[in-house]
Amino acid sequence: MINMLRADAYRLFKTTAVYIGIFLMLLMMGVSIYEMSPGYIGSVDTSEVDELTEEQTSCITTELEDATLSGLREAALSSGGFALDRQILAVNANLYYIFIFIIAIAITSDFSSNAAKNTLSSAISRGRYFVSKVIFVNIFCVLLFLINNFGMYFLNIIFNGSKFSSDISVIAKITLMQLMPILAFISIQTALAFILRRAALFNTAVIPLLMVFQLVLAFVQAMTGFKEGYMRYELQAMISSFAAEPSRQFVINGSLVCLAIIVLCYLLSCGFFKKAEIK
Amino acid sequence: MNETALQTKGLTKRYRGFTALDSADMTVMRGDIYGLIGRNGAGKTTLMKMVVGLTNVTSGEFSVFGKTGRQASAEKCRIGCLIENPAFFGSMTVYGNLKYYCIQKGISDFKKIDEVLSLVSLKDAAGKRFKKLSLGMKQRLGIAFALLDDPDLVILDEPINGLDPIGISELRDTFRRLNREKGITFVISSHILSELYAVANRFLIIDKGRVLKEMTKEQLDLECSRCIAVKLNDVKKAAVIIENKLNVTDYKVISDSEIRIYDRSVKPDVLNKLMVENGASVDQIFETGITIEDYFRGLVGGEQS
Repeated sequence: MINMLRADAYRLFKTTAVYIGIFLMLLMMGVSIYEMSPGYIGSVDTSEVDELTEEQTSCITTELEDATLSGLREAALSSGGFALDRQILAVNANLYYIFIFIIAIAITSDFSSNAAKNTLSSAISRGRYFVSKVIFVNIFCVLLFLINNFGMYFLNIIFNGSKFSSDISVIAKITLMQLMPILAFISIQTALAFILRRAALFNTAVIPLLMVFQLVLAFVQAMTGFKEGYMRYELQAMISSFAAEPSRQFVINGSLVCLAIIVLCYLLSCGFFKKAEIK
Repeated sequence: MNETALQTKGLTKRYRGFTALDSADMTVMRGDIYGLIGRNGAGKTTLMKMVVGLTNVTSGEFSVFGKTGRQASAEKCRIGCLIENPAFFGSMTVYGNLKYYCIQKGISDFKKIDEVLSLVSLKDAAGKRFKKLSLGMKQRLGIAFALLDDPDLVILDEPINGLDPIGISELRDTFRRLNREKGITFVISSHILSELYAVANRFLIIDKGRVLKEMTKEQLDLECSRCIAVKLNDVKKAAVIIENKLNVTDYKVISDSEIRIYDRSVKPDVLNKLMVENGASVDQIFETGITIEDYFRGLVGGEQS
């Protein structure tokens, strides 16, 4: 198992795509810190995050509506300050797209190149292969998540000053809360990688998945009229909400939903993979 | 060397409405170079894939070095294999690909990479990316991978595909040398019969998912050996003459009008004279023999291989 993890790490760092992924993550972080306003991918927002953005807009005078980016930045910097770091953490669902790089390199490239058969025809069983890949992508993606959160925290202090940052214990608390939905993201992508196996299929399914899922949820909600509060348990919404100050009960319930997703994804994909024909 | 390296009993693989392999029995002894002969789609690759765990077994069982079930899976660390096309990471170099598998298999001495690359004459291409290699070079890399962790049993599926004649000859010598010097057992599949014949000492002939025959090289030689064919209308009488007058037992009644004598001491003119003297009317008498291809074609039912 350790040897497989070491081998995958060796291969990961031999691949250009991983550096592109890390660069994109740093770029998103840098742009958010410079703009002092993070960007969203997706459509779900929550009241908790609205409170954070309201805090920002109240700090910046409305006369600057037509100002340039640097003008807006100047205005924000001269304001009394707001929790920019928490706003940036609220859009951590963007990391979903960075994780695709890691999972594509670690799992689907094995199947797309058919090189998986070299590993699976040796003494490594399918179960061990599956577990090893799951551990590897989780370690690496969580590492990126931690670099993203704490890297952003320190860069924000360096470039924007402490009045735009929260206490590090708050960042650590948010990181801990966001870990479960992040792990759920990883489990969904890993499951799709093991079920679809081919890179093209995987990318086709996984890239629009978040948006499609939100659309479907919104449609189901509109059709059946189930409580709007349930939409808060959508993963992207949960990541956003956990960056604000969610209730203890919501964090517990959300984490349990994430745990259920994680267990279901791994059980399904492992069962599927164990029966699959390896080309 | 009487240990069984690989044994299958009733190994069967069924897909929806299609039987890829039907109750295959084979025994590979340690030290063998075992040839799997069959046309495309005969079931050779399916058999190999089941043994190395790339596809699940529908029914039947197999043992690796005498171990079955979960224990057989553990013995897979003693197997090196190349199944179907060689597959590696295209953007990584030949050396990088083998280093990846060295790390994965826990081989800490990376000198092993140079060693196996030398064995397959690929050392000069160590720095080339896999996707830039020719088909023959990819094939060599696949064989190098199979030999990477000093396996006791090497399973190679169509290993000479895409190789030039010199490459084929070099590989043949390599297989023989490894078999002789390191005692490595080989299971090699091919539809190029002459190449398989040149290297293997035992054969399994398989067609349409069914095992037709398992035989040694000596048995195959006998089946294909040169002989005197006699065509006449009374084979019973001819058989009596051959046994009693010529004292020859090495013959075979092929049909009710043909008999074949494999004893090389028998001369056609002497035989003809004897037959005539004893009242057996000979229609034709001639020297004959069949090629391995003819023999194989005869076994699989005359269709083109």
